Order: sequence, then structure tokens, then C-alpha cells
Amino acid sequence: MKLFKILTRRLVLLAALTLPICLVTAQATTRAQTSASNPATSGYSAAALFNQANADARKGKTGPAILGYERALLLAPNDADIAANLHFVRAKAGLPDTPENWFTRVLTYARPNTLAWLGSFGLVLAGMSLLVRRFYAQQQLVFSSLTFSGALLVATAIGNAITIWPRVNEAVVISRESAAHISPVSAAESTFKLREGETVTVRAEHQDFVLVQTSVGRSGWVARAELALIVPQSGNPAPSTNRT
Amino acid sequence: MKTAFVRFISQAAALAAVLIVAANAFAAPPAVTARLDRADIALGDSAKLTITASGSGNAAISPPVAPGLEFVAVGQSSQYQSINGVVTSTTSVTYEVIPQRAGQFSIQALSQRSKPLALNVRSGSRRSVAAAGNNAGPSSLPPPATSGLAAGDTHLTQDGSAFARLLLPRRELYVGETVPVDIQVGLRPGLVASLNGLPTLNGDSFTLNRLSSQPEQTQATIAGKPYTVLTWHSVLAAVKPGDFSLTIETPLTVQMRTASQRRPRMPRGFFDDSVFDDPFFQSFFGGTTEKQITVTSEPDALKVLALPVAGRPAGFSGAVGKFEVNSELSTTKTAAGDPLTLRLKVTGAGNFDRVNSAMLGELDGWKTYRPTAKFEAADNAGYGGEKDFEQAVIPTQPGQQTVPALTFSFFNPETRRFETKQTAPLSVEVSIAPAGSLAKTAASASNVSPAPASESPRDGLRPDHVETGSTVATLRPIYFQPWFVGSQSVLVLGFATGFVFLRRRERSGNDADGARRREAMSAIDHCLAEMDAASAAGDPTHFFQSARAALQEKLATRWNVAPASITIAEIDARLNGDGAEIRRVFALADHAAYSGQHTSTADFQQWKETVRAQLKPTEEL
Repeated sequence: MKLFKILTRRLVLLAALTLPICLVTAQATTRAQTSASNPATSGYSAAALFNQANADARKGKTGPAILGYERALLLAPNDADIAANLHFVRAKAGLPDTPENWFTRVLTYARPNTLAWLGSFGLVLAGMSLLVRRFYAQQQLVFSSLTFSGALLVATAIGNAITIWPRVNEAVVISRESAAHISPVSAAESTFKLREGETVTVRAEHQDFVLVQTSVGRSGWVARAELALIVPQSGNPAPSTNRT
Repeated sequence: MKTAFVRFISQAAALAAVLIVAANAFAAPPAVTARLDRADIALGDSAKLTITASGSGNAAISPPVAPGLEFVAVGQSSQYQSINGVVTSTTSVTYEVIPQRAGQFSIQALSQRSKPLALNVRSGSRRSVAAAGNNAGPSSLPPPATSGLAAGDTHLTQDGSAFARLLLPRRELYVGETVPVDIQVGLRPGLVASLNGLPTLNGDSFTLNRLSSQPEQTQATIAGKPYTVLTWHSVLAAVKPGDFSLTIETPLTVQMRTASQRRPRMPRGFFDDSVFDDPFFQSFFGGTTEKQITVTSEPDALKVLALPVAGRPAGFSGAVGKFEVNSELSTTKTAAGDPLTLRLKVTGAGNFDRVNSAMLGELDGWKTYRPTAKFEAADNAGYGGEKDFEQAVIPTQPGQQTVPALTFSFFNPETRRFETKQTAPLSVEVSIAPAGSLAKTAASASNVSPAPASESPRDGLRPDHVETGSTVATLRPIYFQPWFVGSQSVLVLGFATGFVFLRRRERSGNDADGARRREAMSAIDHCLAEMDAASAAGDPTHFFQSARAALQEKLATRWNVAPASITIAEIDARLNGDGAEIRRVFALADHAAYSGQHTSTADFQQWKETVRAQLKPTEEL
């Protein structure tokens, strides 16, 4: 019986040490695979998206510019240059620019993927401390602190995920002029116009049309080609645009 | 008199006619030559064949015959010369050669002195620039305006009306680096009606900045055709590292002859080809139509490198190029409390929008103000120039004061290294301040914090980033990727399982009575099994001993005592005379052990049922 307890204790300790290492290794492997498959010419980089958006903005392509800035912000949410240029382009185009509240800013301070890995680490930390504390009754305070820290990380990650979830379904109008129809056919009656660079929420899809909702709550069907999702559904890089 | 004169004229005319006829009779046969303006064309394109017959005889020119080629006469010219009564005529007929298929064609010799002409027709649509035969030479386009630029290929449109090309200084760039480029668009006068927009880049990895709307205009000749060449000087910047192919394109409106006018079946008289192309005649005959086309340059392969990480100075702000710095103070003698202007000049060529300087920070003996910056371009493209940083500084202590050296770091793409330029320290003689001025100045400057020089960007946008950072395959955060959700679910499940397992173990460890009961049940089960084995073997001693042991376990658990302490006396004492069957089993066990009593199979069965009946409440233990 005693031997069993000792074995169990050692096993839990071993797992506590191994799991974080596995997590770090998994993350490193993921990054290495990303770098190997996308050395430089493909994939998304915040700086490349930002530079591309700048070029679009200089050319007067408001829609692609805002799309580029939005995508860059996903990868570098704390980059002041990206945020400043996004606000500038929106203001120049007369588009609404809703400021984020402090809670949202806190939750989206770091990159989503970084927070996701931190949350994963927090989960391991909390879980392991909950398990190991049963063998070290005299160090309850230490393990309680570890559990709390881990839970805090998990809560932050979940909060970040909840905050950015709506952006997964957001799209930017990239055509000069876009009409919202009452039904998903070209011949359907147009209900309102969308401005280039306007950010909308995609609610449904039907063939070549998507049902969008504007920031003021108006809904209508818009041709799919006139929009671009901020988070593309495939892993392909953004469609190329002519640059000057 | 009049009759004699008329007779003389008639005789002279008859003699001249005889002489002309005689001269014609003895004249050499006309020489016929042919030439093609090009030897290599694409299917769908056409070449021009000019057949010239010269001599004193009649020149009857007929088109050659070549299977697969169609010859359409588009123009004819004639010249007559009369020297000493010998009349020489030169007649040229121009045919448009339209291939019906791709391949190698040979146009037969039209005379003994001429040679067959070869024409290669390719299936591609690209039109060759180099002309063949004795009509054309190499491109006479002038070299790029920018010294040292490599010439790009000239890529004519299918109808030869225009071309576009990009002239790059080199094929390897760094991210953030700006390089001067020339964009040339050649327009054939009379064929291109209008330029419908500025040149644009095809490719999302480069930006073309400061493209002027007023290009330089020059004249050039390509393949014997005149072109008006528009040249834009601009600056190309790379957005991200990698290998890329870069082209430029420009929308045009060209004038095309309509089919009926383009292929006249009859010679058009004396108009030669150059005159025929004149827009006046095209408009006059009314056979033109306009068409929107896009002229595209040849692809240029470019390699964009990321800036190296090793050796990057701490103060590197992203400037890429070649720069020089120097600094100066507005005066070398001042009084404490009087403001001075410290100037840092950065000159050179590169991405000036990333050129900044932290200037002076906290410095003992000095008060510093926030610096400002101003850029003056040395060229239209803004590639070279001078950026001036100015900072107001105030000496607070009298004596010989020194403004320390200012540094500026950048990446030099020529040396492929980071370089840091440093100015010389500046000395200033500071006299004692007039009463009250120092305190006032110090108070006004107390809230000044050193910060990078500010320069409002011309287009309102913050400049490009030069550090590309890491790339990701998808923009979808890993929260919403199945593999991540799955792995986290496994983790949660694993921890939950471990937690429940340990909790149960702890609970079972804390429940001593329960453990004892479980041990007793296990022992009773074991005894019952031994009873069965003993009955099968006909061993009454073992049978009753096992039965007694089973009952001892059951009673010991109920009374919370050791099984060995359960005796007949204990049973009597606790059961107050009840439990006769139990006492009987105990007695038989003793008896069988010492007497060797034989028990029948039926008795074994009966005793087993008796013992099981007594053990039945065991579950209630």
C-alpha cells in the first residue's frame, strides 16, 4: 500500500514536470512547422499586413486598407502604429470607429495565440497543483497560489477568446459600392448601401451571397465578392491587390 | 512655214518614239527584291513584306505564294526617272503577311538575284522586338535615366502599339529598403489614343511610392518604329521577405483598324507604310476603332531579404540606406538659462520615414525639449534628401559645457551590415545667467521629457514596418482550431479523472470500518469457497473449520472485535442464548478436528445452507 502511494506520488510529480515541457515543445513544433512551410513568402505577418494596408491606403483603397489593418491587429493587437493608421483611414473615409472599453483592451492586450498558450499553461498549472497538493498537505498555501494563478491564466484566455470571437465572423466591404438586398439574388430589391471599408458581421451564407448585419443593426444580403472576412476561412494568404 | 514646222515636229516625235521603243527593247529586265520587316512573329500577328521592282521595263508585281500565309496588299508606290531618254521606274508594293498557322515558312525567291525569305510564326502571343532582314535593327531605346540601372526587357503589346518596362537598380532588396526605380511606358504615336491611368504594380509584396502624375517624355525608336516614352521616377519598397516576380501594367486605349479597312484587297496607291499609319489617314478613311488594353512589362524576379538579427544596434529604428550625420549648436557662447538649438542633420538616401533620433535624453547640466524633425527631399521620388532634427536645449550651469555625441543607427544594404554614425561632441561656453532668468527657464522646462523626434507624416499614415516578425499560416486564432480545443479537452479530462481517482482513494483510506467490512467480506467469501472444496473432497475437518472461520469473520465484524476472539463463550455472552446453529457449527468444528468424524454428502449440503443462512446478514455489515 505504501509502495503504491509512493509510486502514485512520483507519477504525479513526473506528469507535473512533463506536461509543461510537452506544451512548450508542442508550441515550438507548431512554430517550426509554420516557419518551415511558410518561410517568408507565404503566411501572415503583422508587419507585412500593415505595410500592405499602408500601400492600399496611399492608393485610396479604403476597403483593402482597413481589412489589412484589421488582420494585422489580430496578430499584433498592441501595435500602436496599426491602431493609429486604422483610426486614421476610418476617420478619413468617414466610417464609424467605435472605441474599445478598458476591459476589452485588457483582454486583447496580447496576441490571441500567446494568450491561448498561456491559458493552456495555466490549465496545466492549476490541474497539477490541484493533484499534487493532496500529497503535500503542509504546503497548501503554495499550491493554492499556483492553482489560483493557473485559473487566472485560464480565465484570461477564455475572456480573450470570447472577446475576439465576434471578429471571426466580421467582414470588411472591399468594393467601392455595395448594395444589400432583401434576398440572396442579384435581382432582389436593394435595401441599403454599404460603404467601402465598412465592417459588418456575417450572419448566414447562401451560395454567392452572405447575410450581413451592420453596426447599426441593419441586415441584408450582399454579394460574397464584395466582402472579405477579417479571418479567412482557409489558410491562404490574402488575395493580392495591385499596389502603387 | 507652218506646214514645215508641223512636219518637223511629227518627224521628231516619231524619232523619239522609235528611240524609246528601241531603248525599251534593249533594256535590262526589272530587278525584283523583297524584304520582311520581321522574321519572327506570333500567330495572330502580321508582318510586312515589301516587294520592290526597279528597272526600265514594266514592273508587274504579283504577291508570292506560300501555303499557310495570306498576302494582303496594303500599299503601293512608284517612281519614274528619265535620264537621257532612258526611263527607269521603281515600284514597291507592300503586303501584310498574315499567317494561318504556326510554323516555319519560306517565301520563295522572286527573282534570280533575290533570296528566299524565312518567317517563323510562333503559337504564343508575345511579339518579338528584334526585326529580321535588312529592314530593322536592335532596339534604339535610350538607356535608363538613372545611372547604373539594369535594362529590363521591352515587352510590346500584341499589336506593337505600346510597351512597358521596369528598370530596377538590383534584384536583391531588404525589407523596408527603398530603391529608386524607373517605369517606362512607350506609346506608338497614332496607335495609342490615350493613357488611362498611372502604372501599377502587380504583386502584393511591394509598394510604389510617390509616383508623379507628370512623367518625363522622350522619343525612342524600337524596331524601326517611333515611340513616345513616358518615364516615371519612383521608389520601390519591399513589404515582406521572399522570392517574388514583379511586373507593372498600364491601361491604354489603342486605335485599331477595322477588319475591312485592315485588309484591303486592292493596293492603296502611293501611301507607304509610315504614311498609312498616320492617324489623319486612319480617321480620314474612317476605319478605326478604339480598344481598351493593358500593357504589361516583363516579369522581374526579385529576392527580398529580412534584415539580419545579429548585430542589430539597440537604437536601430528601421532606417535602411546609406546615411551621414552631423550636428551643430546655434551658438558656442551663451548664458546659463538661455536656450540653444541643437541640430542633427541626417543626409543620404534610403527610407527617410524610418529615420528618427532620440536626440538628447536626461543630461546633467542641461534641460531638454522635445525635438522636431523636418525632411527635405533631394529628388522627386524622395529617395535622397536631408532630415533635420532640432532640439531646444538649455544649459543650467555656467562654465564649459559639452553636448555629447549623438548617434544614429541604420542598416546599409551595400555593406549588408548595421552601421552606427556618431557626431562629434559639441562644446559651449556658458556664462553666468542674469538674475532670475535661470529659475524661470528651469521652471518652464521642468516638464519636458526626452522623446523621439516627431515628424507629422505627409500622408497622415505611420510609416511601414521593417521587421517582418514571425508568420502564421492562418489568421484564425488557435482557440478556434479543432486540434487546440481537442488537446485542451484531453487535458481537462485527464485532470478531472486524476482528481476523482485521488479523491476516491482518499475517501477509501479514511473509512477504516468500511475497509474492515470489505476485508471481512473477502475473507468470508474465501471461507465459503474452501467449504465447497472440502465438501467436494469429503473433508469434514476442513469443512467445519472453514465454516467456523466464516462465522467468526462475520461476528467479529459485527461486534468490532478480532475474529480469533469469537468463541462459543463469547457467542453465548453476546447473543444471550440465541445462535444455536452458530454454536453447533463451532462445536462440530472442534469435534471434527479431534474425532475425525465422517460426514455424508447430504450433511455437507445441509450445513452449507445453514452456514449461508447465518451469513446472509453479512451484506448488512
